[in-house]
Amino acid sequence: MVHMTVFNRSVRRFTTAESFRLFMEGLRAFQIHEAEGSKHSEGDPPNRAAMVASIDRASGCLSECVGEYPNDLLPRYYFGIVLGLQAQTEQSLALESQLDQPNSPQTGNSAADKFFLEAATQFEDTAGRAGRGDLRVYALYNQAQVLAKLNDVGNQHYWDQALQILNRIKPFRFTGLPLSKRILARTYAFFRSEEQLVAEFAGKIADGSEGATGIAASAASALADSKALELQIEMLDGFIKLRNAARNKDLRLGELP
Amino acid sequence: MRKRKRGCLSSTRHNTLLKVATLQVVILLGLSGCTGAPRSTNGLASTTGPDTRRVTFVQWSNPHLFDAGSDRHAEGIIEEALDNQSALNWAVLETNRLVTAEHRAIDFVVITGDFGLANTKLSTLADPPSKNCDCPKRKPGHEGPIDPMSVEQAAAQVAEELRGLVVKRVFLVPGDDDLCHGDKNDMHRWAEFVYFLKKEIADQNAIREASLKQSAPQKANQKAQISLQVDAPAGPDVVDLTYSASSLYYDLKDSRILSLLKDHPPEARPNEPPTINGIRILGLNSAYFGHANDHQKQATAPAIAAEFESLKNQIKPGFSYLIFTHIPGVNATVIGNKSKLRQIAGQPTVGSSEPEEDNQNSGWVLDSNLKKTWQSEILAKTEVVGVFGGHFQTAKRESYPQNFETSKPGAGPTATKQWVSPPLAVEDQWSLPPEKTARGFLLVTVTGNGVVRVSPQDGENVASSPIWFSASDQKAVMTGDDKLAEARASELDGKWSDAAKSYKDALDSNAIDSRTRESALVGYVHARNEMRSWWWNSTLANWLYMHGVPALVTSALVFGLLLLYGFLRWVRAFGFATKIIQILVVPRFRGRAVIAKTAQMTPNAPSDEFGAQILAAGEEIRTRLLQEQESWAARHITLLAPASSSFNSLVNSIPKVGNTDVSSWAKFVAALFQTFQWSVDSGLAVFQPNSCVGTTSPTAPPPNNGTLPQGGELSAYAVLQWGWFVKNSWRRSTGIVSDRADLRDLARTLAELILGEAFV
Repeated sequence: MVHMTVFNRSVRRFTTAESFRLFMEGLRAFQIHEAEGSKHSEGDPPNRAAMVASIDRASGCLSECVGEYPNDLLPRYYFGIVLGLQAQTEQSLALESQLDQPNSPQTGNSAADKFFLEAATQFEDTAGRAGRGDLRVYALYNQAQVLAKLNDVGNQHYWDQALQILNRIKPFRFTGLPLSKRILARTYAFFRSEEQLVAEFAGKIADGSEGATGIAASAASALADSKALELQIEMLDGFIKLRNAARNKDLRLGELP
Repeated sequence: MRKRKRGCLSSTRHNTLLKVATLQVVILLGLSGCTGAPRSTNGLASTTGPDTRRVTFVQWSNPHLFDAGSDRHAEGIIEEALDNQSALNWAVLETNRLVTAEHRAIDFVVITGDFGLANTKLSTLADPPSKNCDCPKRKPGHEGPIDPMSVEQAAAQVAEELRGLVVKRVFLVPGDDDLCHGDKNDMHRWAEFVYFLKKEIADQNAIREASLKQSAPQKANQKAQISLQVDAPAGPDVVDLTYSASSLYYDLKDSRILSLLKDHPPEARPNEPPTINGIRILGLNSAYFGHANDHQKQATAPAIAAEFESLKNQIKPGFSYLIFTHIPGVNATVIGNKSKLRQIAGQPTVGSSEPEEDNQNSGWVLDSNLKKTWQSEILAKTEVVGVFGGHFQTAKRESYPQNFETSKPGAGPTATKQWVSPPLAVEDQWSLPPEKTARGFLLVTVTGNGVVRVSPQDGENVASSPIWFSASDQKAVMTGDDKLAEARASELDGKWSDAAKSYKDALDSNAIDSRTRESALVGYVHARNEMRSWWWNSTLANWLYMHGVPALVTSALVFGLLLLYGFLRWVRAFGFATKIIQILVVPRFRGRAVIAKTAQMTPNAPSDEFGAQILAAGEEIRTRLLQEQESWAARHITLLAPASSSFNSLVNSIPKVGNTDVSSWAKFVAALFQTFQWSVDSGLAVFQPNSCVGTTSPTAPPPNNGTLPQGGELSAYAVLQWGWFVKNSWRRSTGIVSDRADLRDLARTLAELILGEAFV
């Protein structure tokens, strides 16, 4: 179900300063969680308790923010992301439990699916209110992704729904840029092919190399993001189809990528 | 018909009156204890009093009733005639007002010529004289002046005006426009006019008196016991100061005058001139002094010489004289009059001691002998107090009555004794707006000491002020008027002590006239009576009398303002107005603010550290938003530290420029600039365990080793404002569990709230 706001407020506005504070607290906890999870050294492995605490805090703050200030879209979007992470955590815990006790019944999938469905609802809400900007595109993509990750065999119609969502996503160009840069980038891209533009800055933007901050760089970066999203959509689409084929036992090993 | 006494007394009668008056003065002085100086009459006065001789008169000039509109067209001609007529009406009413409303003792009215009689038709006499009396005034191609009327009609018109005067003595001298082309041979025109004027006044008086007598018996029948018989108000006594009729009749044997006055021979010129309060009045017939070409000059020179000789002979040592004439003996350019400039180059004139070529614009055209006679034998005499003329028409008000500031040094009596009256007629000023014109008459007071002049030090003072013809009422300023005005203002304010003081100041002045003294005396007595009343002497009643109404009005005003304030608060108008001002004035907060030094609300609260942590938290927020690629938000939010010490040292190093402390001004401008930008005021308090907010536990002093008390509480506030407009304020508290971490969390919370305002 798509909820529409009464007036077309900016998608990145907050109702009050308190809403922004809750969002920032949630975002901070989310980033701490990601930073903890990104540790790879053996001497300093990820701290599970810290990760759980941070994801719980992120979820709590964002949940409170969404509950108190339902019109604010950015907290809702990040709340969906956090819910997706929580679902993945549940899946990981379930897999860990299954590996430890192979004969015990699987119980984690239903908990993870609840998170995924809740996340899908948040993304759907966000996309419905976000207008035509990049937030809507990302929200739709994320919605499709969490629907695709549902494990229950009975949830096939969600996979179909995810495919429909992916089909609805139109590739965007430069929507992440400010208006002035957007106009300049469009003008610049009019005279250069997109492939040439992306190739010219390949590697430079990520490295922060010299000459990677001008309007051409911004246009190239925006185009790269767009291309990346298109590839992600293609991959997700293929993933869902493969999963569907595997479920229907139509998949043969030779067809696996 | 009753006959009024003439202003000019015979010497026999004068002596008789002198003796009687002297006796009266002696008796009065003996009875009154010499407290006041008696009024003088006919030159008789006490030498002990300061105000023994005083003459007050008004001078009208240039009415131009009968030759109006010379340079006008169409309706302008009659418009100018009506304008001039109304000016004369105004002069009569204003003079009456001076007498009746302002109680000025005006002794006479003098009209210094230019009725415009040159444009009148002389009557056909039964014994027609052989001279040509036609005087075509209208020039070829001109529409004006007005059609001529007969001299009898002109006299009747002037008589109507003069009969309305409450001043019963009128002196006349002829003007150049009262003679045909200013020709001396036309003097009979003036003499006829004066004759008919007197006759008209007498006839109109008779008619009025007969009318009153006719109506009185009817009313007497109705109320038999009360006699309603009243005398008709007498018309003014008119005196021609040039005695033209007498001269023409007895000396020159003018045929028209002989024919006109054969049944009523004119009175001969009196041996002594009219004397008013000890000052003698003389007339100088200058009507033909200014219209001389070479031919006329030779013809008129003997007459002018005779005129001067006659005038000179009338001036006797020991007396004071006022001379009235039409054309004054001053240079026309001196008073800025262009239309009256003489175009006869090289004519020797009076009015300046400078060479003749400088005098071509003078009012008079005289040869050097006559000029010398006038200046040294008449004007220079100390007996001559003042010479009053008219004739000029300049619209420069500063030129009247005596502004000869452009006269060359050494002009002598020309600049000090001669006075010029503004014209009544509009003439050359018709194109100017009313407030720019200079029309009106003179109010003159001549005062002096002693009855008999013995030396120039006993000289008289002449105070002359113009009263301008205007739609608005005007009042001349005389000595004592200011004190009377002050006193009356104090009376209106109820300040009786001030009023009495002002009245007393007026009474103490020696220069005020009798009417002013009388008014001041009455006012003083009234003020003193008020001051003797009980309420004036009661402090409370006096205060209430003086300040009761203002206090009541002020109280009502304050009460009304309080009511208004309450009402506005009730309808939340102030909040609404503040919001409107905020919308109009305060810029949008976009996340950039200056963090002021954090206030330390409790001892040992780490306020400096807290302020730094707010700044650090702001930077952390920025970094986290950038990490999420939310550059839309991160790119403009910044929390800044307040002005650094380097700026202060830079400002302090600015040297002084002269006496100006540039450094202080720079600090002021910087402070002003910082005031009108977004800023954050913050404060931090550390409370001990088990203590309430705002109190500290007496048993647990705050630690001073930099650590925060475990179990205590951190409380902080932040106020986001622009100028004096507060956008939002926050207060947050947290328990102290882990020392610095709690301080950081509190700082981050406030930083998030502050920056959150940028996204609301």
